[in-house]
Amino acid sequence: MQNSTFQFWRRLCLLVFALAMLSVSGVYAQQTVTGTVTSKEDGTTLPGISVSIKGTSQGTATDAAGKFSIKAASGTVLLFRGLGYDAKEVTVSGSTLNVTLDTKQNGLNEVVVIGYGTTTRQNITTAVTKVDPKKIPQAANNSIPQLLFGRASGLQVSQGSSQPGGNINLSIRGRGNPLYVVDGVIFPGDGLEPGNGTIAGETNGVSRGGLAGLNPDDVESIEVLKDASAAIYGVNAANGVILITTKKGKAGRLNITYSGSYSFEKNYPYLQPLKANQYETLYNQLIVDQYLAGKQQQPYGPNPQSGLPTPKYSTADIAAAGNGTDWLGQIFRTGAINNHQVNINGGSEKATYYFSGGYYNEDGTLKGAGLNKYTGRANLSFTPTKFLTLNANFTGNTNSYLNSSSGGQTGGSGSQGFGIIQAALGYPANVAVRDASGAYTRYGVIANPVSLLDVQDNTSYHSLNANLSADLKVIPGVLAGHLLFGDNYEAANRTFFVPSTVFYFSQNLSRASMNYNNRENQTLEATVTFKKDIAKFLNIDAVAGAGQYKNTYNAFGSQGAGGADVIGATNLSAETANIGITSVKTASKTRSYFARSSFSFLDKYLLTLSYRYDGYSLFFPNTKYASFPSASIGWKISNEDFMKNVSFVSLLKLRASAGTTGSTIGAAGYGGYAPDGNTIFFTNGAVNYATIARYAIDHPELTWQKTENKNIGLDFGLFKDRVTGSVDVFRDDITNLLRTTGPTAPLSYLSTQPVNGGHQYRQGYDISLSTQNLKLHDFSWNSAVNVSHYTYRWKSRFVYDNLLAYQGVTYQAVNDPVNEIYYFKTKGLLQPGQTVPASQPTAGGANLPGSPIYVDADGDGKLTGADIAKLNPDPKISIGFGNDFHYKQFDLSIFFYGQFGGKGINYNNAWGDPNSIVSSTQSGTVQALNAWTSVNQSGTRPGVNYIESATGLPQGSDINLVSTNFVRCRNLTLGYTFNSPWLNKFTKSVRVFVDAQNLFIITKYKGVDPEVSYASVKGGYAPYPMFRTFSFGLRAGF
Amino acid sequence: MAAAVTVSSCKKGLEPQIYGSLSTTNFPKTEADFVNYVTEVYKPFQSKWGYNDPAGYQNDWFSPEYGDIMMFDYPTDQLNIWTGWGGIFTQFSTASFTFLANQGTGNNHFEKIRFVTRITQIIDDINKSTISDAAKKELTAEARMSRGWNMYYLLQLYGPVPVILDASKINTAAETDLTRPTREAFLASIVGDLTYAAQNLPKSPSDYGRFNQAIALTVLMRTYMNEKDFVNAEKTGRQIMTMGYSLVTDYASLFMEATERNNETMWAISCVPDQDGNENHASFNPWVFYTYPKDYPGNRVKDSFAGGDAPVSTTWAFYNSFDAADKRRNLLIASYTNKSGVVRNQANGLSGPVIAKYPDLGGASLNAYQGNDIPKARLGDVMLQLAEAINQNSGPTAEAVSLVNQVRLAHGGAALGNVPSSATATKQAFDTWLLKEEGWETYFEGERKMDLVRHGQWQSALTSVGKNAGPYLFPVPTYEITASKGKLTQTQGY
Repeated sequence: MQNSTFQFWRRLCLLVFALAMLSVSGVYAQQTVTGTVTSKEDGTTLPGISVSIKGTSQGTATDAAGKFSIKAASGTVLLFRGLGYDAKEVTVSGSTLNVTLDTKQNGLNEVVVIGYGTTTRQNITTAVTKVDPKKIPQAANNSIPQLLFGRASGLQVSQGSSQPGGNINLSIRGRGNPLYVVDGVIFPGDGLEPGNGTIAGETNGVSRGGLAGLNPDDVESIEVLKDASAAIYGVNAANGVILITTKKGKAGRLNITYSGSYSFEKNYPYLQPLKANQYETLYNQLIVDQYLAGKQQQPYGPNPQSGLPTPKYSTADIAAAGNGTDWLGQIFRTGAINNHQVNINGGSEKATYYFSGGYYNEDGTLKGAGLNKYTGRANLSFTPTKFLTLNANFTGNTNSYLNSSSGGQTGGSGSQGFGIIQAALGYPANVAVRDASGAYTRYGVIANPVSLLDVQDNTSYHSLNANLSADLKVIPGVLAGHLLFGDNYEAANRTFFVPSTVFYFSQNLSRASMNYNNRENQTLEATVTFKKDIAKFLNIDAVAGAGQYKNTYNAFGSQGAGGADVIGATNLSAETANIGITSVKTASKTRSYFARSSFSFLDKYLLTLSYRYDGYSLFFPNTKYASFPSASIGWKISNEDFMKNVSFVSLLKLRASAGTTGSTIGAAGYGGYAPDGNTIFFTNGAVNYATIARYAIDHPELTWQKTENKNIGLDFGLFKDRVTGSVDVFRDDITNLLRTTGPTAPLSYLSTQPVNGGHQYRQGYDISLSTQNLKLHDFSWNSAVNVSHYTYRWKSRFVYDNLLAYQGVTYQAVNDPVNEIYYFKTKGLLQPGQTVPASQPTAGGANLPGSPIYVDADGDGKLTGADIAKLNPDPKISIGFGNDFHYKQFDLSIFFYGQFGGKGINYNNAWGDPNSIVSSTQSGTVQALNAWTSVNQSGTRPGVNYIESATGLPQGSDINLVSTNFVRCRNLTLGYTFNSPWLNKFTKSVRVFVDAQNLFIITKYKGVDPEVSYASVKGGYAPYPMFRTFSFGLRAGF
Repeated sequence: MAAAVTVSSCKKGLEPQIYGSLSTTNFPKTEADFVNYVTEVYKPFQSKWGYNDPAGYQNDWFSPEYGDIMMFDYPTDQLNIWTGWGGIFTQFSTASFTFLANQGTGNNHFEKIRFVTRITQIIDDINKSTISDAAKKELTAEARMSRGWNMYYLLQLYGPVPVILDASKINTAAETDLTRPTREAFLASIVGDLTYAAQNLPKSPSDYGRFNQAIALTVLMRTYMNEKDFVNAEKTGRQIMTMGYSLVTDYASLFMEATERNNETMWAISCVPDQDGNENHASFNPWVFYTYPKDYPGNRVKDSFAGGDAPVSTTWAFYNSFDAADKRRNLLIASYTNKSGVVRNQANGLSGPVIAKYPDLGGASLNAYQGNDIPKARLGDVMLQLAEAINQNSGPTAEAVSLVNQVRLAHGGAALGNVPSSATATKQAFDTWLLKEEGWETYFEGERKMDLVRHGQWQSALTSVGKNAGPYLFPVPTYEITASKGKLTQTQGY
């Protein structure tokens, strides 16, 4: 206390002195300028930054605390330069000058983590993309995957669900969930989320992603291994690898960084439900149209209209109905996020430390949806003697989720199993929330949307990660050893309770379940590294090691119905009906030996060889181990003599890689008997037997699925690295495709079996480009663009896979894209009086006016497999595009991502299906107003008498096939970094910012969002809404 | 060095750990093991939504959706067309089966050809085991009952289908041979299984709901009937008549939970109230949820699945075919006062009489699924079929007429009276009458399609209610034809 008071007075005196000096500086040109240089991303002070007066040789450097002092006249320009940072020019305008520097991206010497070691951008021979998360706005994000939308070439990121903590699908070159390695420890990539049992399991709208226990603010860098570079991770690397490195303490003085923000969330426009009067009018009309078609009356048939049914809603009813209840308004709200992060780091030559604490609280835009997340981390490093460094990284975390039943039901129960958003769309607006007695109203078998807010559904998730390692320097700079043990433990507990006041699944019955699961992933590794310049022309960098990886998973759930509401899910012994328990336990172990060696000849020719030998416990003894080799070469063209005079090229490197990666599956090779989930009850329930069925026979012939990765790339740096980038072309061949649920012979008593066979391939390209467009005195403008493309096709199929055929004509080809969509083309709707084409299906009302006209592509007068069209729904191109502007103390960045050339089935259209409305089971969206009816013959959507599922065709029509193209503005951020002498007395740097996340989307897609994952469910899918987030925050370093 | 410490041996410690299952080396061994193992054969003969299979969700033969009622009653003249939910409701109620050719492996009864192989394996495992001969016999009888009944239903759906009945062919190329067997060979397999079952199953098993002698004989009799092998059908029917079962005098009581165990019902699906239809819970009876209109004031079920009209209701023509005195008609509600106090009937647009065959009087809470057992072998049905067989073999004998009259008296009531003499005048007249009588007696019990086909009335009956009668068999899935490389022939008419 006394000390700080003294400090304050000392600083005040200094300030007075400085002011006094300033007053005379007009006379004396030279003055002493002092200040601190800090890093823009994390606010830490930067030692060793060169500070010079532009155009002269005068200069100094910052000390260990990042401070400098230089004599310079007002108006002179100081140049700040440091390894790994963008140079910066600042004009002297006073005696204090605090400067923040940006991390340099894509510099030639930028360090790139490649797994079991590092290399630099100029020496890398494989396709690895580096993402600096510190450059990405984090205010409204709670997980690492959220930061990655569009940020890396070749990395497709898409929103699985936008609910708090919702799943984000990461896929490298279209391969699916990659392997995650955090500080050397393998992390599971999928979310750990218990289900809610089968008691009301169809309300399970939860979809969560992996890495939920980590704090994005703790991440130093993210590397994406896209090609054979992943082969060093062998059997689990077929989908590529994402390496995450956390922040470490740095020797130097204490740094404290705080960042905090407040955000609010506003939904994008959601699907628009029918208003009460629209619903009633439409309902009346649809009943009439159904009647007319049934009686073959005009315009559906030759008979004159007669005996029309009495309208359910009178003209007076409709006039009085008005807009009715805004059900979506009842369940949606403005969301909010509070995000606070503190980290403290520093250290000495002997020890460094990094401590952080994070708090993130999100109230979702759907009532009852939320996330409360706490994280803590300690990354410690000790060097007790010259040859030994001990490291200990710990992370602990708890997430409390408030779950919502958004999405769609997971079974086929229809409207009785609707989740909350489904119910809000399905409930007609002419029904009030509560009846005269104050009880929830009822409509059909749909649960009242507002009553569903009474469902209690919470998940509590904990994770604990310990990562202990030792570095042993045997010969300093040449030979070193590394020993690592990492353990990641996660546990989640979900309580779920539907009170009996909720009319759900056709019953006022309480339902409760409690489900628990946990998993542990251990990494134990020992490596030896060797680095040496063998001769003037040859440098070797080699690593060899062994590892063992253990995974265990346990789950337990119990459930019942009929207990008292006050007890909830806290004591399941209160339940009286439908009592059930489940449990699961799995374990697997992988054991590995690996080595990699990199050679550099004459600093021009690069060669890297790697080899991994993996054993997996769940494979048969004779195929327990497999090899995963890789080789890559690079040619630094820019270092050749003939390039000496080409001064605008700083780097030109051609590289190529080839290698093998693998993937494991569960206990597929071993046969056995197990309870299959069915229980047979006799004597009216008094006696029961769980059926124990043979689920598999032994498959000693199974072998490893292997992916052959090939990649050719070009890295370049032009105009003193003002333009840098990479271009990669790749092909993956997935051979020996291993499918656990492979087809069997038609008469086998096992309907599936694990089987090798089939061959798929992916090919495509990724391009990334960074440019420094403008660099003026006070203004700079940088851009980054990435573009990715891939296709994913079959080369050969499994032996019992049968190509789809219809009416004797095969329409599926052996080499079709894997995700191919097959459909019938249609052209407009049948109109009254129009001749029904001979090829038109007759079932499902397809021959009545208002039904889509099916295109008979080959003109043979009937619909066969030859008339089925196909297309690849995968986007042709994904892009990311960002711009950063700096003007004096201001910074502005804007980032877009998007996709083009994709198509998909728009499942939102199910809500506009007039047939659901007329069956009185649900209301719908305004899209239903476009339905063709006898009074709306210009309607563009099929009429009430057309039921596609009843046409008997093997594939659907194209009426719901739409483009999924979009460009989204992911972030627009404006920041201001203070450079005020007064503030600088207390802080090293202060930056305030406003950020808008998902600010807008440009798309023709009609529905909730083209990016969100959908499923085809009875009644219609209703995903968690997409929303904009507006954040206000500050970041301060002390 | 460090590497050596970490991993001492390549394979040691890398043995698989597989939890939650029994290894092939230690199961099944004991008699108790086999009792558990054989229980699986009951799986398709339950009333639940269905069961999970690795190839997809499959339906039970008695599932409410895509079970026997939907396949054998919905497409006939007894039940109305209903398109409100589209999909299988539209297709089955309109007797349009073409869509089944495009089925995938899920929700597909044709996939039960694999289940037949599975039972063959189970029978072989029992045979090769060291358990007692008595246990072997009884367990084999249960397994063969299941296999025979599965094949019976497959025959009614698709005609003869390829099956593996010889365990030595399992896991060989024979599993890819989808050549349809001859009808004679396929029938002989069914008869062989059911005959063995009838000889070796107990009359009254210790667990109510296990297969018994009567269900084996009843399915065997229907097999003969549907093949018009009336001689064997008569013989089997007479055997059932000697077993000691007798008609109850209150038809409605056959379908009520309180009186579900009686001397007429020979075998029923044992159902439990308050279940959810999931496969880990007991069989349920959800029928009123499908047969009550939205506004119908049920006893315990106040909210059916219906959005308006009931998805399943009988035709007015069928209702009107009853003699007004027939008590069996009382389970069809032609007029009711709805929840709003309005009378609903044919005159004001009720789509069809409400089927209240399984009254909703049970369940711990309102709107719970019911527990009424669902009879699948019933003496009243057997007596009518026996009468039909005798008539086919020997004309309208007094015995045959008497069988029908006994059923009419017991179930229809004394006021109903005997079969009119004009209807028993000739073999043809009596046969025509018998189809009607069978309809009145066993409506909504999953028998109508077979009855219509056997009597040669499939086309005319459907036309009479405005349904287009195509082939009465289902097409086999196209993917199986492809898989068979053309060996599997498509059902005639598709």
